[in-house]
Amino acid sequence: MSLRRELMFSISLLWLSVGPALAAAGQGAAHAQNSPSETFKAALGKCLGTAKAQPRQDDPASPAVDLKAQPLDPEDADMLRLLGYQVDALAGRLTAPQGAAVSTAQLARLRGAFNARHEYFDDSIWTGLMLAGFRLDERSCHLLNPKTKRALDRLTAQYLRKVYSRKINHQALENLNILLQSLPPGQGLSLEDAAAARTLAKHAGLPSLGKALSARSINPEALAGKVDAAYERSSRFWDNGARADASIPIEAGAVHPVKAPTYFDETERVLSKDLAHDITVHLERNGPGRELLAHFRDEAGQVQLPDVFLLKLSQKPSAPGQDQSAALYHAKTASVALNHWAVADAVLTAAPPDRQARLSEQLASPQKLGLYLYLNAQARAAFIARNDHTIFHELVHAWQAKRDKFTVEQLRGNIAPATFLPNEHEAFREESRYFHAKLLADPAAAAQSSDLDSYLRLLRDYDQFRDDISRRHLSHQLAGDIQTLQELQAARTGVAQRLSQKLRGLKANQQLLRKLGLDLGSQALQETHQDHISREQDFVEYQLPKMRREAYPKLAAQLLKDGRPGAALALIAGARHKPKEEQPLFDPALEQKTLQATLARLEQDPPPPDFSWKERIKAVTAAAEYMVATEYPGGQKFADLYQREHRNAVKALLAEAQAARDPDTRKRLLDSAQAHAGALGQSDELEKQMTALRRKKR
Amino acid sequence: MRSVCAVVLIVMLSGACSKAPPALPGWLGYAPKDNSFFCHAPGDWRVLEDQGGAHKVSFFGPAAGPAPYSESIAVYRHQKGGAFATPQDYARAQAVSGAAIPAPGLKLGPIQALEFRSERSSRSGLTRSRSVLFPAEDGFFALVHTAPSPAPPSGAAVFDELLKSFRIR
Repeated sequence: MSLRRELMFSISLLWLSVGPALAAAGQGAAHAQNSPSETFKAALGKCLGTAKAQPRQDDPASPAVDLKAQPLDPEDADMLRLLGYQVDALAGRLTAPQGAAVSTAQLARLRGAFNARHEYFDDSIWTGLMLAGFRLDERSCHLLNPKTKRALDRLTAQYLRKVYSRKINHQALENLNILLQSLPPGQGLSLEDAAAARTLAKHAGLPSLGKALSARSINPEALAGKVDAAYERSSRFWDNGARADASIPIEAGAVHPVKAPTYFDETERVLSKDLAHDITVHLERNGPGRELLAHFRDEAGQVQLPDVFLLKLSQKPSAPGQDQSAALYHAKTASVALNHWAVADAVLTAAPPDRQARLSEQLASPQKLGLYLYLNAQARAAFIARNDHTIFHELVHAWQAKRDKFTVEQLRGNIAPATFLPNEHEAFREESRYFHAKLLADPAAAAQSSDLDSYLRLLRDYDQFRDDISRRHLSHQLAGDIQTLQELQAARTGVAQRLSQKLRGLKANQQLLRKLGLDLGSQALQETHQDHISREQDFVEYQLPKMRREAYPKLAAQLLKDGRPGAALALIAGARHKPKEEQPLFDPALEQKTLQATLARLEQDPPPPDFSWKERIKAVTAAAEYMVATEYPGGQKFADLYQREHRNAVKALLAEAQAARDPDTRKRLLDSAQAHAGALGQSDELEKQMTALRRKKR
Repeated sequence: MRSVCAVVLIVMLSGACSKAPPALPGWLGYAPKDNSFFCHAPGDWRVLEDQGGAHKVSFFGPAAGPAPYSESIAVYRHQKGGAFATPQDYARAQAVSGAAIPAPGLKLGPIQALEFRSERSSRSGLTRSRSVLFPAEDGFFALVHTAPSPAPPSGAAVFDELLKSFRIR
């Protein structure tokens, strides 16, 4: 496969490869997405695609390209055709999409190097390039080819953008096909269906079909034929290009991707070994870590982790608030890519303040950062310790790819390139087991961890935890559960079946082969689904109750020790809402001590500065809940305390509502104030104040 | 990802929509496989059904805008003998977990609903939820709208509309 085809393949699968990483952004999201401080700005480098390029005028005297005198390279000709150029080798003419003859100067510009200082690639394309082996030369801002070490040209850059947009078109076509197939036969389109189909037709690049859909009288069967034909053309583009072997049945028992990773240079190769070694050492310290490593042991008992790359996974770091992956698992090369931006952030943060500015300038490129890490085992360890959850998560994906046929069938194009949500649910569940083991070993560190909230969310309500994961993935990428993927399989298989009957000769055979491949994909999907059902059942019935029983007492004791008795009491009181057999056993002395400490803290007047009204409300709610559950006599003293805290909450919320300019925010604050006011009984004065604020215009 | 369109069709064909209140333009009727409830949902939102435990369905949207599919409306059916015996237990467990604030309740016909709001920080940022609990014969339904914060949730009105159409069967 040529490098261009490989690139197309990487980009076509990007949903797949980047998806899990985005979801697993985890500490990457927490640590790497922050806006760079002045000190760290130097570490951004200059190849951010933001610098203005000098306006260029092509020499009007430049002669038209003569392809007879200077024939095009066949790959260049293919790319130009896809971009809409007319390549007439016989006449020797090259014509631009707008119809004008292309001049020698224009072609030379197209063949010029892509310059990342002025030019920008969408994250999806950039990541695909890095995973295909291209590397950014920070001095020239050129993207270097891993084999020739030559700079990527603008023609290829334009071509890759076009390929990516065709990927989007293809997905829209597929969805349009599913929509049309799901309609009852013999009936016209409803208004809603027609609207949905028009939107999809627009994204699929079929404006004429969009117009046809405006005519309500048209029937879905007539449309299905047109969509089939467009889908077949689009599929052929992918099959002939990126997935030439997509439909070939797999070898018996072969479930591994076979492509070896491409190291750009010797430093990368050596660093990969060091990082894999350090990750192994780190994960060995933890039970679930050891379990995971066991899946990568070879026959001699040696852990063989996927290769580890340090890559700039996007041209520039994400804006604040956007997910930024610290690492991702790339199924095609069976490798883990650590994100340069997250690593640089971790290394610079860990460095002594007086060295940060200098180091920041030194570490602008992944090559320099790689060398720094290679020479500095402590920095490697610091990054791994800070991002161990994300790395663990990605290695779970590596294990999934190793153990079942889902990933390999997806790589072959036999399963739609969508993130399979159960794979993500499992990776997050396993991550929580990893955190759990850390908590048991070192509760003090766990109580301070930014991962604690997510872990507690899982313990308290696994159903909602799972939904959170689904939402995060759906908002970033194409993702689905078994039903979604099965529907996609059925739609694809249906099209292949119909086309194999409609078409003749080689094209018909291609469709039959495609259908065979899709059948294998469906089988792999079903097997993986069954496997996930039993894994989840084991987690919910055995692991989760055990985690709750072990974690709550340990964590409550630690929170009490840390001076956070309210949070500790919330755990104790909350655990009582679980079924009896799942309830953790707290030491009665700990319960009493926690309650008394919570009350003592609440009784402080004025409250300690680090005890906000929100925290006090949480503490007083936990105390009330505990007292109700244990029939503890709170008496008038506690009732007064309870009222006082709700009164303070109302006061604080009304002040915020008064200052709020946005009506939605004001309404939300007033609703919250009203809820707290419910604890205080009727108050005409309060009602009057709230009504006035609700009427406030600005 | 399946859209509501694809899933809802089954309901329409089975005639389950006959008792449905009128839906807004672009909205469709939805009933789960066990037909335990009915509601309207926007036709272009995405659907995930029966993800396990008490989960019945989640709708993800909005389909367009600056943050597509970043909000969800989930329906959970908690039956007796499950993790939470009553809506009050559920609400109290949420309240004691730290961030829930009870809100003025709403009614589903003669049924008084319990409502509360919560804010939660997660690794991907802050999220805000509004939960509404409807008691049923053998337990209760929890309907939860979750949206990223601080952006005002564009699905808030969708949730209100869905609640109006929600019927326990």
